[in-house]
Amino acid sequence: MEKSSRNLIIQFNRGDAEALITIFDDLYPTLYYFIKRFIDEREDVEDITATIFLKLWKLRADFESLHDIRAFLYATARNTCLDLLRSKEIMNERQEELLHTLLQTPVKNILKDDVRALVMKCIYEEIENLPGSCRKVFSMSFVKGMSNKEVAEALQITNQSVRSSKHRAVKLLRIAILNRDIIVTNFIYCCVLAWLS
Amino acid sequence: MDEENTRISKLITKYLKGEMTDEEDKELQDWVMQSRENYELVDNLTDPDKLEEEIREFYQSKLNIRKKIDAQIGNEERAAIPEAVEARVIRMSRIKYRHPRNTWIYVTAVGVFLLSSGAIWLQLRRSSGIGIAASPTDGRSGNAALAMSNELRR
Repeated sequence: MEKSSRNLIIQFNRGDAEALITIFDDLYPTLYYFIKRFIDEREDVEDITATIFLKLWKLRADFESLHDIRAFLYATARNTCLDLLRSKEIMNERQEELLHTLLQTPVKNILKDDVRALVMKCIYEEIENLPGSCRKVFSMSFVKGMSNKEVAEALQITNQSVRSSKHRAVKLLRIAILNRDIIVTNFIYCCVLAWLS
Repeated sequence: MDEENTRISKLITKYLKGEMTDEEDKELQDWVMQSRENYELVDNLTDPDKLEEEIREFYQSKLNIRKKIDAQIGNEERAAIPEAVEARVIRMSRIKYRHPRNTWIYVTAVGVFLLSSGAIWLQLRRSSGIGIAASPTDGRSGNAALAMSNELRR
């Protein structure tokens, strides 16, 4: 692990775009939620995040560890958010509060992730760990909002295997608690019985 | 503070996966009770519709950002494959905070089912069983009991 992150940094320093993408995949989730806390507009959040990673890319020769990279990303994010909030002529109450929070947050606390970011990162990792075929199906139907039929046509597989891939992912992701309907049915059943006796 | 964040996020993730123990459930409940913000946060992350929207937005943004980065560093071919996924998953299953864990639901449901079926059966036996016991060959009273139980079942 230690060695592989060392290698990653070396590749990154040398200008390997693949290394940048690996770093992006790793650090994007928490950084995204950090920025999102302060910026309302989704497009702004996306622009800021992209700009920050591009800045990182330009300075790629200067980083010695993933920790340095992370610190740089968060510090840049903080400053960019500050600039953007300040540049707004009219701020709503919430934005004023956010600006205040941002100014008050000690620099060492910036690297701390909030609960939402951590939970989403975990879900994201589960999803990334899905087997390739499953993941492809889900990416198409979920992110792109394609129907089962469209996915089947695009991947040249049958409708049935689209469905079974989805089903498999449900099991693998295990982000399923229970089917609420079961409880409801049982509840009604018990009520009827109670009423009868 | 950071440790707390890590801990709470672990609890929520465990909840989502249905792997939560009773102690952990209580711990999260206590945290939820501490403030309105805590409540809203947990509600947002455990409500299936909200979570689904959240995941969708997260991945769409990721895709957009990747495209922007790739366009800048001349890496367009990499942008072709979105690394994203489905969470319609979540729509299929219903997650709602405050549900007890999986296994217990089923155990309880089956238990209640058996108990109440037993109760009904006893009831039926008590009200119409005498007739059957007195004249087991009498088809009419047997039919009456059957008709009655049909009535009840409805």
